[in-house]
Amino acid sequence: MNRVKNMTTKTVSLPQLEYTHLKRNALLTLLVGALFLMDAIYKIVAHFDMSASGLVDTLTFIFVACIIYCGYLVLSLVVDGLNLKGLKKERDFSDEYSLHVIRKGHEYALACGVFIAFVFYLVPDDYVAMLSENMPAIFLAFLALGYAIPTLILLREDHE
Amino acid sequence: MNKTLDNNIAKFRSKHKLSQQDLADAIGVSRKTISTVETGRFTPSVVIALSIAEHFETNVESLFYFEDE
Repeated sequence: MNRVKNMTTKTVSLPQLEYTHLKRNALLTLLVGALFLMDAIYKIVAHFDMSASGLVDTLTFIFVACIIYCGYLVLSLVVDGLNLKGLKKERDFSDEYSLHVIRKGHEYALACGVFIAFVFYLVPDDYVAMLSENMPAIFLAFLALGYAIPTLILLREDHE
Repeated sequence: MNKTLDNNIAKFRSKHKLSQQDLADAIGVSRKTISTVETGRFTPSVVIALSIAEHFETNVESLFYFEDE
């Protein structure tokens, strides 16, 4: 069986590495989705001039923290990619459960995309101007969160 | 079709003194695959079912069965 060494030189199987890679990727997607959502909320808050509520400061702090953690995750995914020459594209993963999780993630992301598109369609005219500015960010946030949350739930740790 | 699939993988593992990771490494899947198959959260392909059966030197029917049978 194809086995590779990770950064700590511990030998692990390729399916196990695919599992770890998928989990990191989902976590990164979750953070990116959260960033898009916060960006949209930030702009909506600014639109209604609610900056005195302290929400903006909190959002800025969370935003910066998310960006720093995203940087760490991107770096670890790049290192994984460099170290694990056997690691393929996600759709070519050898592990059956990982493939199942990817498929489920895509299904939920599609459902979320359709849902939010339908909500945008139903938005009253009064809010269209405000939403049109934030629509791409909200749409991307829902797609990212729709993929990442079910994926992370399905990949959660369990013990024997 | 309204049948629930159950399995004896945990019993076979325990009999052969294997951990989930040992079995996963032996048949080339992740530990999570074994764990979710054992708990019935994931139905494996015929390839995985046959690989597990081959590893335990038994047939698939001894490992997987319908709960209502």
